Amino acid sequence: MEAGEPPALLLDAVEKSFGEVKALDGLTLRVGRGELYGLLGPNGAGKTTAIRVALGLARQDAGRAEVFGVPSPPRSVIQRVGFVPQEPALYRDLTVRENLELFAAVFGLDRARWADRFLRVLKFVELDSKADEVVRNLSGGQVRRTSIAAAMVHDPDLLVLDEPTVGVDPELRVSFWDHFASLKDQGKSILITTHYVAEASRCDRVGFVRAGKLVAEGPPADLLARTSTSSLEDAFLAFLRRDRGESP
Amino acid sequence: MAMFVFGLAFSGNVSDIPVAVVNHDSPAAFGNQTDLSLGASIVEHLDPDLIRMVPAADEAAAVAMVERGEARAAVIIPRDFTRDVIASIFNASFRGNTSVFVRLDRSNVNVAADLERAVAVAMQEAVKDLGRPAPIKLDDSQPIYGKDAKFADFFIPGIMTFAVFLLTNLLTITGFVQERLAGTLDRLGASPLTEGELVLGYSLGYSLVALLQSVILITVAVVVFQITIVGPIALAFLIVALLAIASQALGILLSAAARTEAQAVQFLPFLVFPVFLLSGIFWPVEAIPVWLRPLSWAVPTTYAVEGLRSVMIRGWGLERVAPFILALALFGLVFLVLARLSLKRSRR
Repeated sequence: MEAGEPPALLLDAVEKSFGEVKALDGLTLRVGRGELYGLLGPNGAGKTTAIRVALGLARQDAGRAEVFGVPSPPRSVIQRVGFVPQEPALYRDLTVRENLELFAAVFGLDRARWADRFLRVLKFVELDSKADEVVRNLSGGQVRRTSIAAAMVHDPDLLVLDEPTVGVDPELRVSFWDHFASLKDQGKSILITTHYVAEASRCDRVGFVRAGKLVAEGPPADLLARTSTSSLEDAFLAFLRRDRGESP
Repeated sequence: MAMFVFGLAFSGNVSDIPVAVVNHDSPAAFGNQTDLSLGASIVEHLDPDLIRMVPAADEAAAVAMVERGEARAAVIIPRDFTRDVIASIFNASFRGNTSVFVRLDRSNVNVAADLERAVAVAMQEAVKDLGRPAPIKLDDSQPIYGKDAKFADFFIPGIMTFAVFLLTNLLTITGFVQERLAGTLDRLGASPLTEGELVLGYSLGYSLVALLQSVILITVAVVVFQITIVGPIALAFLIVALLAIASQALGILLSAAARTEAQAVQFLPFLVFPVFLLSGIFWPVEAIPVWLRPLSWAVPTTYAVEGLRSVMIRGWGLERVAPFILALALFGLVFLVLARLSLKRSRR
C-alpha cells in the first residue's frame, strides 16, 4: 500500500457489547488494498460483529471503524463495497436475474451496463445457465454462488464475505477459493470470515480471532513458522494455548 | 384483556347519539286536560340513554346539523301537532299535521334503526293516555343521508378497512421478518439505500396492493350487493391508500419486535381486537361505552371507516372528509417516521 492511502477496511481497538456479552474486545485489523484477508475463528468469536461494525450495520461502543478511510457507517463509499452476508440474503421467489436487477438498481448501476455485468458475474460464479431460475429451486451451493454474484453486480473494490463456504461441499469450496484468488488478481480487496481454518491458507494474511480479540495475525506461512506447525488448524490451536497461558 | 374489551364493546347498546329535536307543537285542550302537549310528551319520552338531545331553532337548522355530521337525526314535530291529532281522532278523514318527521343519517344503519325505533316508542308512550287510538304517523321518507342504504352499504366500508388494514399489516410484518431472517435487510443496509427510502418503497408497494384489493372489493360490492357509492370514489381510494401506508408502517414497527414469523403472528390478536371492536367496523362506535369512545379515535382504522362511510353513503366531498383524511395522513406520517427510526435503531 502506498503511503497516505487509507486501507480498504480498518478496525482499530473496536469494542462492542450486546448486553452482558462482549462481542468485540478491542479488535484491531486492517485489510490493505488488493489484499485477501481471512478472519478466522470459532463460531461466536465476533467475526460477524466485526463486519457489521465496519459496514455500519452495527455501531461500536468504542474504537475506530473505517472503510476506505471513511468512518462507519461508510455511506459515501458504500458503492465500492460488496457484502455477502452469512445468510443467502436473496429474494427466494425471484429469479437469479431479478435478484441481480434489484441489487443493481439499489446500487444505482447504469441500466445500460446491466446485461453485461450480469453475464460477467454469473459467468464468474458459473451460473450463467441459471439466470432465469427461481432462487427457491436452486441447490444450496448455487444459492451461495448467486449470493456472491449479487454482491458483485456493481463491481465493488472491496468484497466482504461472511462465512461464504458454510454448507458448501468441499469441491465447490475449492472453486470458491479459486474465485477469491482471481478477484484478488483483479486488484480487489477481500475480507473473508470462516471457521474452516484450513481453507484460509490461500489468504495473503489471516487473523485468528477468539472472544472478540485478535490472538495472532500474519501471512499463513509465518504463522506456521512461528508455531512450528504444519497446518493452520494446528497453528490456531497453538496460538489459543499461548493466549490462554499468557492471560489466565 | 381481549375478553374485557370484547365484553365492553359488544355488550353495550347504542347510546349517547346526538339528535337535533325541533318541537313546533303548542298545547291544546283534550277532554278535561286544558294544556295537553303531545309534542312535549314525545320529547320527554325519548330514551335518554340513547338520545342526547341537541336543541335546534327550526327544521333548517336541524337538517344542517345532520348534514354536517353533528347530529345523527333530526326529529321535527310540526306546528299544531296536538290539535290536529285530536281533530283526527274525532274525524277520520281529517288531514292535518299528524306526522312526526324523522330525518335520518342512515350512513350507520344500526344507529339509524335504533333512533327510529326510539322515536316510535316515544310517540306510542305519548298517546297511550289519550284512551283512544290516535292516528299519528312517523314519517321517515326523507332521510338526509343513505336513502337507499342497505346493511351492505354500511358493511362494505368496514370490510374494506378491515381487509386493507389486516392484509397490509400481515404482509409487512411477515415481509420484514423475512427480510431480517434472510439477511436481505443487511444486504440493503450495506447499500446506498437509506432507511427512509426503504420505508417509502414499502409504502408505495403496499398502497398499490391495497388499492387493487379495494378495487376488487368495491367492484364485487357494486355488482353483487348492489351498493351505491354516492360520493367521489377517488376519495374512497385516497382513504384506502393512506390507511395502507399507516398500516404498513405499523407493520414495520411491529416486525422489529418479532424475531420469527411465529412471533409476529402472535401480535395479530392485539391488532385485530382493537381494530375489530373499536373502529366501528361491524359494531357502531356509538355502541361502545361513552368513556371508551376516545379510544376509538386513537385507532387509525376508525377514521378510515368513518371517512369511507361519509364518502360512500353520505356522499361527502373533500372539504367534509378532510378531517378524516388529515387524521389518517398524520397517523401514516407518525408511523413512517417511527418505522424509519426503528430501522435505524436496529443498527446499534
